[in-house]
Amino acid sequence: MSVAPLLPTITDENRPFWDAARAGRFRMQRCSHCATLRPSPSDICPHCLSEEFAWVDLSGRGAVSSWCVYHRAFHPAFKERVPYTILQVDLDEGVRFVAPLAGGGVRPLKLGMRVRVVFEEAAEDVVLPVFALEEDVV
Amino acid sequence: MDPPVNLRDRTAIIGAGSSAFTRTAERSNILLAADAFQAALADAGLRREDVDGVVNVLGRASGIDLDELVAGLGIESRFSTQTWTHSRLMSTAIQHACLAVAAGIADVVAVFVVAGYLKPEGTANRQHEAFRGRGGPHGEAPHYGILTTMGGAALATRRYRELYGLTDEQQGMLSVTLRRHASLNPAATMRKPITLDDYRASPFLVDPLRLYDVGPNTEGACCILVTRAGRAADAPGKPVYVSGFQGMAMGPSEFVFSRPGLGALHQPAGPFEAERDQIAYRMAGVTPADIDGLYTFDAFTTLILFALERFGFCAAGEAGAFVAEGGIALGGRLPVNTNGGIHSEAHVSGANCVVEMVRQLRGECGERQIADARILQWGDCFGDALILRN
Repeated sequence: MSVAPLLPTITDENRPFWDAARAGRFRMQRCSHCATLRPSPSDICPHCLSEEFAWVDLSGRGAVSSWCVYHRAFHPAFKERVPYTILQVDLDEGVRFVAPLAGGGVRPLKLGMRVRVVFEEAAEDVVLPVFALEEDVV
Repeated sequence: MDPPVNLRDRTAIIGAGSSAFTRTAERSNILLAADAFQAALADAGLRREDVDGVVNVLGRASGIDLDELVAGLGIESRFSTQTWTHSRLMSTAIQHACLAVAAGIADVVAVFVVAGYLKPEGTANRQHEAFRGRGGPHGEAPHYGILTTMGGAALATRRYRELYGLTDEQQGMLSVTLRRHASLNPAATMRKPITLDDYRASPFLVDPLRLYDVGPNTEGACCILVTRAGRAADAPGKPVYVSGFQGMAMGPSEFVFSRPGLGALHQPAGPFEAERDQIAYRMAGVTPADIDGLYTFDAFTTLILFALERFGFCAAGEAGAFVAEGGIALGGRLPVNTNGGIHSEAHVSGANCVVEMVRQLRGECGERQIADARILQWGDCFGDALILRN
């Protein structure tokens, strides 16, 4: 019997991110005053304290700056998913994002490997941006 | 900024006590608190009525809230506070007690850490922060499978391994050393020594962290009694003076399970050199070279490496070699967590390490005694420190 997946907590604040993901776009908040990108949404820019921001689409391309591999399922929803890899990625726009390796599993990795965002369906109407190795994307 | 040298040795730990540490839930949280409180009072030769301040660490869900604690133990408190529900505020809590006592608004402050991680509400509910829309403070993101605090520690460790070439042997010597220390400590929950081969054979939980890199969840409580130096000098036991301290670092350059410059999670990457003349050392009038032993948060063993570098005991990238050479073992250049630490004694937020520091400075540690221990430091990869002397 399969266990329901853990889904993101969607709030008014982060809904534009998840709506965009469903449409195959990867976006973040960008401060309208100092242009700092925010890897997770917020009411305020931690760099300049401006409240003004816009949602902007990102290239989704970047380089691996760390990773880890879950061999233990810490929730029943991941019991059949282990082992799966989590990538810390320095996006080309100068901000980091942490997300799984597309398709799960374990791959030989090195710092600096190029990746790009692809999209995986987690449930009906819920799509997760994840990372694929550039060498796997034609 | 001038360090508060006027507070050097102005306050003292007059008593320290612990409950039993266990790997199953056997006592309610208030009973754990009572066990630690009575042990600390007996150690100090004080009565409950002598205590007029309470600082509580953790609170619910892993521990007990301030109201339940003070009511349950019948303490008449006139300085009362509680830190947020995170382990890493342990030494900050002791600092609050020292400041209250030095300011004269309390006479004897009891600092409590009650950690009931094996009760149903203990660890499970602690994950509630992970389910915020913005994720958890250790990088948790449940929808991505980034679960428990281990993921953030694993990302930091992987980055350190790639940047500095930390080997399995160097990483393994961390847990081998902590288990060796715990084997000399009758109170420790994990006393069976392990070898490097055992370490290499232990399964990955979150690669690069193996089972033996991670301390188990436990049950236990500690109580530390802080008072004025003058009052401590009149007490029956040998006083342990609080010579220096500094607060926990937070902010854009910090990630809790890293040290500045490593580039873990959203922390900037760059060259790292330990800040010289950190407040705690200047306050105490000592340098890292004067420290006879280091105590630090080691729920994940590799955090020890980050702490050694943060305080300048090792240069960036050199802590692994220092560990492999026996630098952190009893008899080494800087013994670390001689009780076994959170990793092998018990997870009482490191308050169990402060209890050990008091015992070491009194020369009560038997087989695991640091010869002629005079000055000991608590110091975390997240920047807080306490310097104690006898």
